[in-house]
Amino acid sequence: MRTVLVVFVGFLGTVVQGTWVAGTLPTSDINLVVSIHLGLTRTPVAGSIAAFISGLITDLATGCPKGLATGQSTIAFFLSYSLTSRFLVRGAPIEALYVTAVSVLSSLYASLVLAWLPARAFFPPPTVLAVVVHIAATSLLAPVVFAIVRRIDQAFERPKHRLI
Amino acid sequence: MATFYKRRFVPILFGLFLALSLYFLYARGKPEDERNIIDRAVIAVISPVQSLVGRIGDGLSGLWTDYIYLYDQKQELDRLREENEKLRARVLELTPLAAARDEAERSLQFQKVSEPRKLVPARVVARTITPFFQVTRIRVDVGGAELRDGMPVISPDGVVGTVRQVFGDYADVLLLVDRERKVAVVLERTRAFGTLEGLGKDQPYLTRMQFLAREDRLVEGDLVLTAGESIAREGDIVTTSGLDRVFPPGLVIGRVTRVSEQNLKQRQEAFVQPAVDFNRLRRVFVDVSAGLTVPVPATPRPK
Repeated sequence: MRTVLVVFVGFLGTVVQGTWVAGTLPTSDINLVVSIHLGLTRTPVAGSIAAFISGLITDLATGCPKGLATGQSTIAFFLSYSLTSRFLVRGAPIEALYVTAVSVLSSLYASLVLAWLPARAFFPPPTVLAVVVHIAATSLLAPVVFAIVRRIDQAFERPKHRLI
Repeated sequence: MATFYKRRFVPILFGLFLALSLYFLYARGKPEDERNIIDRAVIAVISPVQSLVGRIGDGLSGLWTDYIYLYDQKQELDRLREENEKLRARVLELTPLAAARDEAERSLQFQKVSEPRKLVPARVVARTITPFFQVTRIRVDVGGAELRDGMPVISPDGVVGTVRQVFGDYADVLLLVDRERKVAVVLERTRAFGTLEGLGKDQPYLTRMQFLAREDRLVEGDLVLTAGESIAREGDIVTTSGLDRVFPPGLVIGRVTRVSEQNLKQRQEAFVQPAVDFNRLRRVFVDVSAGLTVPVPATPRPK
């Protein structure tokens, strides 16, 4: 339930951006932030499936080529999962920095894929400025998204010990 | 063996999901890329949410602009905008008639195509938000109108694209600038016919038009140009020719921004900036009468 709600929040954020923000202001990748949160808090199986589905929904909801956001969320999840034992991601500045690092790697992946499938899969290649603005917007919004999904996690947390 | 798999479980899982996402991308453009039943189910669920969010957004912005910020002026502006939209749609409906009147072969080729069209208004409810993929497909909410793949989608500014796939009340639109789309076009000034295709590089949404060079046109005898004169010039308006039987003739595509000097003897190329700003599209019209007309018979070959 928690994971479904977290994915739903990511989807809702994406839709809000797609309908209200896109075309007028820089947009951020909320799906990526949600995938990072899943990587930091969930088990590999449940988290990776949730991140994959979240990416797929983002692709289908935004009209992107199927597989672009899916791949980026998968990478973001496994990067976060791998680093979760080495870093403590707490506090807005650290969260923003962490998301920046993962966003850069995720964008690098998207660029590599773009170079690999230039003719058929994408149109047209992004400018460096557009990518930088997108990463900056994602990093700035990340602490807010983290706060919301943590609240959801806390609200639906299972009790660890029985009282009686 | 079990320990090996336990240790390698996470990398294997990662590889599996990444390979699956790469396969999705690789399959793009192939026949199997058509939305499968799972995709259709997901879209059927998320599209109403998107539509709802869009309506809430419109409502919230309407609350501010209608009741707080200049109530009277806003209402007047909305009325004028609506009237303007209707008039521009009417112009769009009548444009093919005017264009067809100027055509030498209109009675033969464009008799059925240039009939007044039935336009259904549609709202844009989904747009992409990643910089790695510019908008080439949008989703529209047509509110119950019956749509089919391939129906033209236009806006008051010009051609938007064609319906790609229909999901109940929603449809994906393949935009004019997509690499997969080719449109039969004509230069308004010189009446040079050609084909327009998405370019996919240099600038977002730039398209390329290819047409026969002047020698070929002179052979046909319907265009007289002095030596050294190019068929296309910067600023020339490009419209649909109707020869592809998808778009009716006379719809504005855009303006020529640059003419290529290469291959002058056989074919010429011109780069065209679409008249429609795809990033800011809010409302479009679907031409539901397209495809209902009798196919245009082929011109008989001269003996």
